[in-house]
Amino acid sequence: MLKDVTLGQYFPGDSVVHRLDPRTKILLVILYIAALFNAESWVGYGVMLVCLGAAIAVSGIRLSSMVRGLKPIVFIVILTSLLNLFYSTGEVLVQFWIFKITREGIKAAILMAARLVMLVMGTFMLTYTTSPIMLTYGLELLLNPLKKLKVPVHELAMMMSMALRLIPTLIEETDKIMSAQKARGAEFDTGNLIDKAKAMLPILVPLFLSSFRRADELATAMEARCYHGGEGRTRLNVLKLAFRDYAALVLGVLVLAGIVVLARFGL
Amino acid sequence: MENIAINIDNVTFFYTPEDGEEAPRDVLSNVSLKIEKGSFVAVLGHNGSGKSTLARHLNALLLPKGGSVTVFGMDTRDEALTLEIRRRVGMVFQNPDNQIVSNVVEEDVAFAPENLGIPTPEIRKRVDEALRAVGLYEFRAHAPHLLSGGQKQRIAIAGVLAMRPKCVVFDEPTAMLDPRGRRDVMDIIERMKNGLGSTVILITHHMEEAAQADRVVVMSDGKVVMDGAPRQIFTRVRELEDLGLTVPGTVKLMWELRNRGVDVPLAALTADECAGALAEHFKANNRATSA
Ligand SMILES: Nc1ncnc2c1ncn2[C@@H]1O[C@H](COP(=O)(O)OP(=O)(O)OP(=O)(O)O)[C@@H](O)[C@H]1O
Ligand SMILES: [Mg+2]
Repeated sequence: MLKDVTLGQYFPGDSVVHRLDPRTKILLVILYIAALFNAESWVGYGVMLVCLGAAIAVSGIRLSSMVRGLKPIVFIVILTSLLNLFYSTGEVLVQFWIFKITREGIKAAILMAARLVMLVMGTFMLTYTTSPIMLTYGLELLLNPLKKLKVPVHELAMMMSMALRLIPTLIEETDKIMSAQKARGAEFDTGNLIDKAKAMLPILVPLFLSSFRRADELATAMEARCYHGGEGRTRLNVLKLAFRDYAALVLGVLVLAGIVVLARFGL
Repeated sequence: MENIAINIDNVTFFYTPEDGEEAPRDVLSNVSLKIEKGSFVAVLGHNGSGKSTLARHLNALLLPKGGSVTVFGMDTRDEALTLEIRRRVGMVFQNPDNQIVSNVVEEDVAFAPENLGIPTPEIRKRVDEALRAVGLYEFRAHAPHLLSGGQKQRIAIAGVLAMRPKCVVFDEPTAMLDPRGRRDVMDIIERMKNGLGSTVILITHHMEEAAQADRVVVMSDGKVVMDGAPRQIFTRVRELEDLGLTVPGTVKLMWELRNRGVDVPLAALTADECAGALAEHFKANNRATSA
């Protein structure tokens, strides 16, 4: 059951999207999110949808993987759409009891759902096509200027990559502990919410203890391999911006500008 | 001193107790050992005898509370030398899952050279070389957590080899492996000693592995209680059993045969040697009866 966790998942590949510098991809996602929040009309959303569709098609990531990743947010999407549907003012189409559905409400609900889904899919494009180490390396380089403000950028990036490194191990371990508890008659799928929470306790305690032990051993092993912070560190894979990175960034900025202009004209 | 890799001189150590705990107990007391360059030393001892604690003194993960540890002429207490010491003395731990730092094999092997600030093209060279040495070059782009335990441990060894250490300390590297993984790891150790001329220190509970060493050190309650060639140590069957240890299966067989009055040599460290000695004995017996 835990095998479906998509957190930190990465689909190796050799597409242009995969080969883009992680820094470029992080910046593109930021531009994409900014554009998404500036889009106001069907036309604006249409443009964004075309951009997202093009990126997915080029990356070669299967649409089914994208959709599967959406499962956890289905509830939030439905809730926000409903709120938008009922709480908009404008030309009334249907009215019953205290609810009234307006033309504007329908539009707002659809666009809000689209915005959320496209937002999540856009960030998937980043994590699905970038290895966790490269992602944290890119983040570290982008945040490097903050070092002047005494922000421990290297340490934060290292923490993030260690966390990503331990996720598969911990998932495996949780599965093991759950099987062990099941073998002793524990049930995880029955009862009400409180029963389920209680059943989780015997899993969480050993999991916590073992992750502390693991973290301690990992830190010792890192020290034994000469880890001493970010100072004077070199890299096996050095990031270098290529022509395609500049091209992609220019394209990203143009799309954002286009969306802002469209919004100005009420589109 | 020229040919001494590590000099452990009268080392005493205890773990500083946390608040509210009783007074510390010496985990190592007056341990002295000289380890020669290029030698293969096995360390034996019951659980809690201080083997891992001693191992951690060899690359300055722990510092002695009394006495000193000198590694290739460098005192481990000198903080300025810590990195120099650690790049010369690599360490492989028991659980491969807890020493792999990256989600990609080659990035993991590159970790130590990266920390040492080695230029990128040279890191690439070392990583490829180390992965070839452990026979996992084809797996360089894989995720380590999808490999077998033995493969993971070989990646951990490659990660240490990429530092080009002069000495490698193995702390029960085969404890969590199946027989196949164990053999692979022992083969690599053998090659490191013979091919690269590295000094190897192997902590183990497997007597057959210890029998392959040039020298066996036995610890008990934080002290070195035996030290000598495997042939000398493993023939002291009674003493070892009193220390809670066993001897290689083949020596045990010879021991039991001798107890039953069969005149065979005790020092048979491998199955091959044991079979040879027994065959010799039977042939001699046959000759005696037919004559
Ligand atoms: N971090 C620590 N803090 C306090 N005491 C410790 C610590 N590590 C080990 N000890 C204690 O020191 C003693 C020696 O432990 P050590 O791990 O060196 O033994 P070992 O010979 O490696 O045993 P094993 O065969 O089980 O690996 C044990 O009694 C142990 O409880
Ligand atoms: Mg130990």
